[in-house]
Amino acid sequence: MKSKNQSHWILKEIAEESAPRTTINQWSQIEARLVSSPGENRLKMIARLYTSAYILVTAVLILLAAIVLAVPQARASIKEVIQRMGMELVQPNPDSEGAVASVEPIRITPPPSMTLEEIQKQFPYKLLVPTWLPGDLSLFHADVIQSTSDENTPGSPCVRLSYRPTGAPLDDPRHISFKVSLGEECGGPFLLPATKEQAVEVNGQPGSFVQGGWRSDGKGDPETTYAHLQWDDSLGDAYLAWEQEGLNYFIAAFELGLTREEMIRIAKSIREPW
Amino acid sequence: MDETKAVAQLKTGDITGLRTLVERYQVEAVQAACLITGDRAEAEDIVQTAFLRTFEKIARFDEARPFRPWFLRMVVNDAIKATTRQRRQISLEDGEDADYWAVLKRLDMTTREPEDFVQRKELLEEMQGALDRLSPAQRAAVVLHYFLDLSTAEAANQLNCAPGTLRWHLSVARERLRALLTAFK
Repeated sequence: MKSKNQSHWILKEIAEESAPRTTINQWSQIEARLVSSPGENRLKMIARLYTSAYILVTAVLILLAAIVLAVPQARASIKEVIQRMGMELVQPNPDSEGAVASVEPIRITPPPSMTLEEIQKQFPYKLLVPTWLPGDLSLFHADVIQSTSDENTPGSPCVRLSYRPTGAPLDDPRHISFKVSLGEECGGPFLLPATKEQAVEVNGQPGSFVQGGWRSDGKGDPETTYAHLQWDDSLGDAYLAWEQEGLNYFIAAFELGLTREEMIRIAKSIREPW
Repeated sequence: MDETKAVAQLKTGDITGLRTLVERYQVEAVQAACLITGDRAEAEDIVQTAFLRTFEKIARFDEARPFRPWFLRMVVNDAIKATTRQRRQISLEDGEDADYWAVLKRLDMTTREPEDFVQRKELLEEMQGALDRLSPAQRAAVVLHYFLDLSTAEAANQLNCAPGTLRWHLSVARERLRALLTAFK
């Protein structure tokens, strides 16, 4: 059998021969295609690219100007240079002496969220959402996507709700992902080891519960880290899935250390939100 | 930059996130597509298109899941489609199952590189020939498991072949490859 966590040497050799890694540079070609493509999304992308660059340059210039004007020696030097050019700086508003231009920080904004009412309009089944959550978790993001395994066929709607600790930064990994769909899971199943599955009962229906998470063994090539994951029971992730009234429900809790009982309690608390 | 941050940046429309992802995955994506299509230029085109679609579809991507399998799935599926189209044009039949199992057997049995240069070269040529005879789907199954090194469960996930609630994908490699092949067909 193939040794674990390693590309087969024969295929690596053939791949390297036909497309040597040192000759692969996709970014310049992708950039070129972005500029030449007339598609609406591409135009949006270009617009965003230039808008981002413009905002960044403007912010840097404002920041530099603010720093220069805030330092007395720098201000005096600038004044001297301007006077040598035959001009004099005047202060039209004495009250603003020493004021420094404020610079808006660039922030990463979360993707647009929907209200539960908007979701219900796009979801042709009775929407049930958790009414009990542990700690100070609150609804952070909600949307509906069309879940499909094939781009050419219409999918079924899939509701995704995300709960995060109130006020936590975006890069805080602690969160709960709650999904409801008909048929397929939203975008495919989570990969969990069968040996860790625990049969549970949720709202009178059979369900599956798993506790723990994948941990990198740190031995792999950084570019193939996902091929080097080891299951770790001690990680604070938990997963619960069950079917109810023809719909598939799935809860994944990350780094919250939730117990089986707490996960089932969340599941049991699902109600119409209004 | 961290991959999660790159995805988050891309979701806000920041192009630097896409650049990070391109730099991280371009090599294995192009090489995998090349193994399936047998055509470097086509492989490059497939991967570029997949990255552009990544930007367009990133809003639908669940950041709780790893990016790599999601992205490679697009690349592999596109490579299969492109190769199938190409094969129809030159009227070649799909590879026989016997060829497929021969390739698997050979890969399973030659886990170590021979020290002898000639023997090594012969092995590579033999495998290249055998891969050429496989159908695009068969080649994709081999590439998913033996080159991209996706576990059998991850490879199954590439095909979205598990409806219903959680399905538990664990089986021996050959059974899974057989299932993958069926799903591709």
